[in-house]
Amino acid sequence: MIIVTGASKGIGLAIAERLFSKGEEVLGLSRNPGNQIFETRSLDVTDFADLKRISDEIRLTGRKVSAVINVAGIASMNIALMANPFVSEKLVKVNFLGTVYSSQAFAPLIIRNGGGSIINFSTIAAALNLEGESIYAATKAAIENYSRTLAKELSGFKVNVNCIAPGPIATDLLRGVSQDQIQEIVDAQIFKIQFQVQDVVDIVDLLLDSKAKSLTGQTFHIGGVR
Amino acid sequence: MIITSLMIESVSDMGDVLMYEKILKIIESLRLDKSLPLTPQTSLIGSERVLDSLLLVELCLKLEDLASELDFTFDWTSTEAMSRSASMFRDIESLVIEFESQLNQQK
Repeated sequence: MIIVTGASKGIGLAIAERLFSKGEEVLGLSRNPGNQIFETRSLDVTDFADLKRISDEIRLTGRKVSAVINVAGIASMNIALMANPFVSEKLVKVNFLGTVYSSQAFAPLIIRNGGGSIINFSTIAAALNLEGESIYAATKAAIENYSRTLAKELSGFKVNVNCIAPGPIATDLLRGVSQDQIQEIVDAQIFKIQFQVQDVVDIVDLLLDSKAKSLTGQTFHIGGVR
Repeated sequence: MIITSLMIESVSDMGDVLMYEKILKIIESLRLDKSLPLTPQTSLIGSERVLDSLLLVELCLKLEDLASELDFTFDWTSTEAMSRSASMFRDIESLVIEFESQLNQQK
């Protein structure tokens, strides 16, 4: 089984649908799952007890988990000095702690599986230190740092931990970002192309492939960063 | 591994020597250096620890299984697991006490 958080829309949904269409057993987690073609559960990634409860349920039913893909995240653009404390806290909780809690709750299942993969999500904004995205980018930078350490700690269990850092992919998270700003970010990529959701899903596919077993503790930038 | 009467006496306050023996057996099966006998005061973290970090995770998974057999959920992320001075992993006795405490709380 592969667990995908944030599986109700955007990149998370696309990943879950692709994996399901390839015959994988998928469990999609999100606050409002809706009707999906794959198995879903309603869950808030900031609630560790809930994540642990689902992890325990999976363990007790004997289902094997080979990968966890932590996509759940939110974005908010603010000038650093004008950042609303409530929004800042929410960004840290959903983006960073959500990834930490999910990894902590489900990694033991991957260890029991004899190995597998954890894929976390960062952003190009972390590498570019984009103005107006200080808190959002900081939560994603924290995910990158966390992932590198987690990769070391789980290496003895044959668990690969990597990050994918997309550029401006056309999803709900890009709402409110002007076309000029999007172009500015695209220009900072090595490939000056606005990549699509399916390009991100391709990288997930790649990282889940057994041929990628040597890749761990790394951040993969979609399109590259100059 | 032979549990001496002295060891059993020292954990008798825990109220359940059987639980101590079960957990001791798990730790014994995991540790690589078996030169010294395990005692209730044997450290599981710090410089004197008998299990490295990987084996400590494996111990947690085995305790999770033992807890399931006993029909409760073992939480190794509880506050008691956090600090070195108060950690449930500071020695075997502390771990057994915390394990039993969680068992009793969920009965």
